[in-house]
Amino acid sequence: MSAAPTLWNITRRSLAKDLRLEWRSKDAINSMLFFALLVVVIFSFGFDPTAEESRRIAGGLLWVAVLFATVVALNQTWTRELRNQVLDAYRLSPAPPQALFLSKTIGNFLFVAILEVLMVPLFVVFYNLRSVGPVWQLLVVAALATWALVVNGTFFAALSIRTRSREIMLPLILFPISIPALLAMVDATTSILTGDNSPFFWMRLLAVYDVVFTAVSLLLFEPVLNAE
Amino acid sequence: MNPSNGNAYLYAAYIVVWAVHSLYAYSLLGRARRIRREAAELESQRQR
Amino acid sequence: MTKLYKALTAVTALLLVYGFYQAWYVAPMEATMGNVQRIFYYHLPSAWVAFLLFFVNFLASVWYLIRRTDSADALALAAAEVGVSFCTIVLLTGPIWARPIWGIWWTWDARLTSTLVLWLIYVSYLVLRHYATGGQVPVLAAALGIFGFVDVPIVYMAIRWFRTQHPQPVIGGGQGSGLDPAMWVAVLWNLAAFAMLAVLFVWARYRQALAERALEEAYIQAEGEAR
Repeated sequence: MSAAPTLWNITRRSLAKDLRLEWRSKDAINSMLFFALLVVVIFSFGFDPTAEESRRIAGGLLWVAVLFATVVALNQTWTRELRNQVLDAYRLSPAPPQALFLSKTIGNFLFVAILEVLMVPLFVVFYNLRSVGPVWQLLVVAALATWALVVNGTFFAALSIRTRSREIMLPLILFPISIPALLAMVDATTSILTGDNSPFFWMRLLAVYDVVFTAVSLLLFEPVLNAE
Repeated sequence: MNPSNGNAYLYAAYIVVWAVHSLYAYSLLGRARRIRREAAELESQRQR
Repeated sequence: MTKLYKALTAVTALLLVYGFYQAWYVAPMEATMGNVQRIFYYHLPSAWVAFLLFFVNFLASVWYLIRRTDSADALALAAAEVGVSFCTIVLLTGPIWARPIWGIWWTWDARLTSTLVLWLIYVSYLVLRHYATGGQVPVLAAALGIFGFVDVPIVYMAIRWFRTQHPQPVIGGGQGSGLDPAMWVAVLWNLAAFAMLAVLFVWARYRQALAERALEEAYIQAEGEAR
């Protein structure tokens, strides 16, 4: 007795399967955590700011660090599927392809969120950060920003599966399109940390970005999946 | 700003505009030549 | 080259010469910037043409996903390539204009920065087209083309707000500065000239893309027969 193959059910089950597999193998998450730690430490060697300076630059540094860690995480999004010919099976099944995309994206979101939970305290410690603005705003920005990176990243990771030099192709096509989101997340974070400006325009921009690109990704995923 | 040496920049910009367009036109010509050559090769292969 | 193409080439050449005459001799000298300002008559039309071409790429990409015709794909590629070429000109003439006026090459001015991001997006499109393998590249490229164009308004909004928060000198006159009507004439003639040039380039590249596709298929067929 299985539940009806609605979008949400399939998404949920696909996601649960991915999470279970990740948890059992733990290889990706462990190497990612260590990579995230390394990135923070190396950035700290590069910059040695005073408390006031650190509030101004931490936003940029943090999100660049998250961006790099995200790309490493995204690169292996589809490798398991590719290796086990799961994509072919998925194409033949009546399941909506959007479910596969959503489950991958949500999985990546959780993944990157875990990385952020590790990296942010490190940044706070290394840079003696103390936010002028309220923390809940930072959390909202982080959620919107992470979704922005992950929704396009998951889609472009699918786009770049069959390209030569795939690992460089993904950041190469992801970064330009993500620039407005990056600008928004960095400036929003800096605005909140320094208290100098209002972050609300940036938060609205991130929300618009998220809605627009989630819709476009869902719309275009089916032809891309079949193209593979 | 010195209006007298502004002209040098104007000429430089003009040269840049035409350099880029010429480069692109040159690439078009190169590709056209290659296509013609490959089509000819294919024809001669077919006749063999 | 067909007769029509040759005729269009002649018209384009005439327009370009007349545009040059308009830009360098007829248009009035700008009050504060002097002769350097005439770069504007190449800078602005190139920007508009590039933008128009990227819009054509968007339409062709959408059409390709709907109909999957070779011609839609060829047009998308041609429009993107020529668009990047014109966009490069905008990015090069901008700093050349800025340098004598502001003393620096680049100021992260809103319009120029947006153009840079646009350039990056479509260069990444071209990289995907040239380095991706497999028969499904057109589908993937079409998806990227759509993503890229959808991003354009968001890019402009983001950068404009950023510049509102952190103001800097504006290249090419601020929001308030309008154009003298006499200058509009030169802009429009050069716009017509460069738009025609773009048409010539896109048409040629489009035909070449179709020819390359046909050659590829002929090769595959020939190999199939040889076996």
